[in-house]
Parts: sequence; structure tokens; C-alpha cells
Amino acid sequence: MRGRHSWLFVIYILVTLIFLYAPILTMMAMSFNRSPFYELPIQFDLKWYQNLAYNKRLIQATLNSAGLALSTSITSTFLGMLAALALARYQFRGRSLFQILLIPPISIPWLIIGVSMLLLFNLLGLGRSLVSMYIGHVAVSIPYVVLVVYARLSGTDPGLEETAMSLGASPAIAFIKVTFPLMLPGVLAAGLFSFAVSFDNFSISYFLAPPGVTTLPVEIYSAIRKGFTPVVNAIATITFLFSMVVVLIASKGTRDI
Amino acid sequence: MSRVKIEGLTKKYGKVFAADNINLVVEDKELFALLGPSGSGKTTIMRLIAGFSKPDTGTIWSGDKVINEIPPHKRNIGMVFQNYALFPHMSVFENIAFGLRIRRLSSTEIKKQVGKILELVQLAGFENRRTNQLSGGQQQRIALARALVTNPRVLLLDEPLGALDKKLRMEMQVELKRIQREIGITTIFVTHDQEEALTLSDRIAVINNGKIIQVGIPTDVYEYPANRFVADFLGYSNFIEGRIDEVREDEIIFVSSTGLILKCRGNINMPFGKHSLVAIRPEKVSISKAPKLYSNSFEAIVEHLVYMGTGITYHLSLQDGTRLLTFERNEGPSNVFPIGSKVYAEWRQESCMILAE
Repeated sequence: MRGRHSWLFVIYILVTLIFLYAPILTMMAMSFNRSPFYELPIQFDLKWYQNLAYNKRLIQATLNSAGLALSTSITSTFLGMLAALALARYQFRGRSLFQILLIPPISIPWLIIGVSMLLLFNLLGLGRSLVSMYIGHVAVSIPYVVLVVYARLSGTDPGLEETAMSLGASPAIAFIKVTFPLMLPGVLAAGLFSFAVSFDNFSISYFLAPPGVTTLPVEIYSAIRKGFTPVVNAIATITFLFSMVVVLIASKGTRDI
Repeated sequence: MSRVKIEGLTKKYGKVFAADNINLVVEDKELFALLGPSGSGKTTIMRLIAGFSKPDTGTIWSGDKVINEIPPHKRNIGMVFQNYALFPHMSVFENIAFGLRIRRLSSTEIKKQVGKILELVQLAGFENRRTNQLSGGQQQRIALARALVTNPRVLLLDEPLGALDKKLRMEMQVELKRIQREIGITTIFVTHDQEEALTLSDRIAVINNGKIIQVGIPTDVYEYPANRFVADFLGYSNFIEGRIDEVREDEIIFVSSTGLILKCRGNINMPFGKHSLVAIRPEKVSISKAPKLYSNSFEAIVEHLVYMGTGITYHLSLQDGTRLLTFERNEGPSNVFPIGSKVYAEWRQESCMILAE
């Protein structure tokens, strides 16, 4: 970057950031506004956050989201990790096909995936249920896990495991003592990513949630349709900050040693 | 006793023979080189010995035990990869202790052994260093220490000096030989660098296309190459095509396709009249203003010269157009023959080798 034109670059970055964050910051600012009608000027008040503590629907929805995200994360991280290991370390029949098949869950709109799953689960007799949601969430978050763990694994030397074996480590010990510790930052990052993917997921939850069960994104959506107060902003602000922290920790983990 | 014996070893990938009916014996305590170009199969053979790959046919012995069915982690064969493969998440101590921990040695014993081996490789006190704080030469010595501390029966090295710069390479050559002698471990190393093979090993096996071409001590392989490939792969050779004209008691007369008459050495069983090849090593070709009258002496013109510091490479052409390379010692700038000089290119009869193709 030449000194003369670096200001242009800075302006470009600022504009991009403003474009991205202005709506979010506005939304967050309004959560501290006393007026239930989003009137300006902003009068600072924490009442919506206090209100939140009594809002059973929103709290239940948040707990549902968290619980679902946790179980999704554990499952998809485990499965995705195995898949990444297979892809990174072994040659097997159908390897390229397998790699290709991991892409659609990311590229096909989740709206379509959600509808398709609903049709499938109805056929199977599962219908809308927590189990269906769980399966749906795991399905769409596995590719992210595979991507992150695979990237981490590709950066490590397969010779390390062979060296460990030449020193007397069985394949299992070599994995536990050498491969896994090196993979760990990637696995943790993938765990956090898949948690975020599940927590923020709207489409799959919307289509597969049984009556009476909502997740936070779905609940916020309903609130917007029906009429809402800045209590929605409050929970959205909390969720946003929480997700930011999760993703930041995750991205630190994807850096190499 | 830890000699390694290989019998009828074959490994195919698809239609290609990576290792084609390999038969080899590496004696106890020997420093043995598997020398060959990329893709020759040398790495395949090493991985088969280590157990990371299963042969299609053949038997591998370590000592008097057949190890074909034994998994790599039970073969007690130490290995050092070309990039050393030090565990990045562990300290030097932990790296070296790795094999000892698996063998469940006591903490005190482990500490003692690690200390001892670090002294052997002249890196005492390096226990707490991180692997990324080490230079290339240090990394290699740690990798070596790690492999040797578990007392393996055989040591396998993959291009041991490949990643080092020239000065370091010369130091490590001496180091490696010293360590190997001191421990007395049967060692097999794989390399494409013929200089590495010649300087380090007790014996060399030259490999190409999955087959062993020649096995012998460095002097034999260099001075009596079995065929063109070996003559060309080890060091440099000038090749002259032609046919054997006459086989006498103490020399063989060779006539080149351009009519040059050469006095050579070779096997008296060589068929004469047939198309054949002669190889003359450049360092054995002497050039001077006045003929010294070696058996082979021809007028030549200096076409080109390369100044290498320690010596000079001359590109000569003889009167019939034959081109020859010669290496001369650098005896000072006033002794350099400039381009265009008329000189005599000469070599002894013993230096003129007739080869089987």
C-alpha cells in the first residue's frame, strides 16, 4: 500500500464496516431506549432487559436454542471430525464423491433443506419434533466441522503419526498422543462454529419445530409478525454479543500453532 | 544380531512395479545406502521395511525373524524422516522421551537415557527447548536421538542430509558416521544424492525402476559401474559409443563410431564386434600442452570452461567431434587453458571402462 493512497483503503474499510454494522448497532441501541415505539431521541433505560427476566416465552426459547445447539455441536463435531480424519489421512473408494456430497448442505438454501426434511420426516413418521430438529441441525452443521477440522489436519504432517508408530505407539496411541492434540484447536473451533450455526438457525427450526416448541430465532420472527416491543431487541443484543464472542474464540482456534 | 534380509520383495501400484523382485542383505552394524533417482522405488523399499506398506510378494527378515506380518509399531525399527517430523506440541525432552514412555520406563530412567543420548548427539542441555527454536542441524540430531534412544534393531533414514546446506552437510556426514559407529546399529538410508551415498555408506545398492542394478562398496560401484545407468548416476561420465575390436591379454581395443581407437579395460568375456559403450570419468582425463603419453592421447580444443573455485571443468572437443568433459585441479589462474587452446586430452587404459549397456 503506497502511503499516498492508503487513506482510500481506510475509507473503503470504514464504509464496509458501517454498511455491515449500522443496522445491528441501531438495533442494539434501541434495546436501551425507554420508548416502546422506537421513538427518538434515545432515552437510556434498562427496563427491557429487566422485562426480559419475566418473559417466559423468550427465556424458554433461548434455553431451547442453547440446548439444541449444544447437542448439535457435540454430535456434528464428533461425526465431522471422523469424516475429516478419513479425508485427510486415507485413500478410500468414493473419497471424491464423499467430498462433493459435503457441499450441498452449505450451498443449498436452508429454506429448501427445511421443507425437504419436513416432507421426509412426515413420510417417515417422525413429523415435526425435537428429534427432527436435532437431525436437521446436525446435518447442516457437519460440513462446517469437516471444513474446519480438515483444514487444520492438512496443515499437519502425516509423517508425525508414522514417526510415533516407529517409536512403538500403536495407531490408537499415535492418534491420542500426536494427531488429536494437534487437531484440537480445529476441533474446538469447529465445535464453537457448529454451536453458532445451530443457535442462529432459523429455517430448519421453523419447519421442523413441533407445536409449542420454539427456538430463539423463530420466536423473534413470530414476535416481529405479531407485534413486539424492544424486549426483542434486548434478547437479540444478548444473542448477538454471545455469538460474536463464540465466533471470535473459534477463529483464534483455527490459527496454526 | 540385526542384519536385514529381503527376499523376492515386490510392490505394485496398479501396473507399475514400485519394487520389482528385490533381494538384498544388509549386514549387522552396516551403514547401507539405497541410492536411486526419484521414483526409483527406494522409498517404497524403506517403507516396506518399516512396515508402513505391505508387500505383494516377498519376505523381510530382521535378524532371524520374519517381520512381514508384524505391524510397524512392533518392529522396533527407528526411523528419521526427511523433514525430521519432530512433534511440534512437545519439547525436545518430550520428543525424545516419547518412545521411552511407551515402553513404560520409570521417570528417573527416562531422564537418564534422554540425558545420555543428548550428550551423544552433542546437544546436552537442550531438554527444554521448543522444536521451533532449533536450527536444521539441531532438529536432525534431535530426530536421530529420538529414534536411537529406544535401542531399535535397525535405523532407517530418509535423505538424511538432504535438507542441510553444504557446510552443515559436511559436518553432519562426520557426525552421522560417528554416532552410527558408536552405537553400532544397522542403518539403512535412502538418497538420490550420489555424493551422500559415496561419502556415508559402507555399501551402496543402486536402484532404478524398482530393480537393484548394482550392490557394492562405494569404490567398486564408482570405479566398476555395472552399466550405463550406474556410470551416469554416480559422478559424471563421458560416454563414447562404438564396438569392441580386439580383446588382448592386458587390454581391449575399442573403436568408436567416429573412428577413434581407444585402449580400455573390461571383462574379457565381452563380446567383440558388437555395439558397445565406453565410459571415462572426467577426473581421469588429463589435459596438457604436451602429450604425456598415456595409453589414450588425443588432440583437442577447449570449447568452454567453467570455473568452480576448487577446480575447473573443461569442455573439450576432439578432432572427430567427440566431446569430453574433464575436471582439473585449480592450480592458479596462470594454469588455466583459455577457450580455443589446442591441448592434449589423455587418460590411462584402466580409466577407460567398457560397459554392458
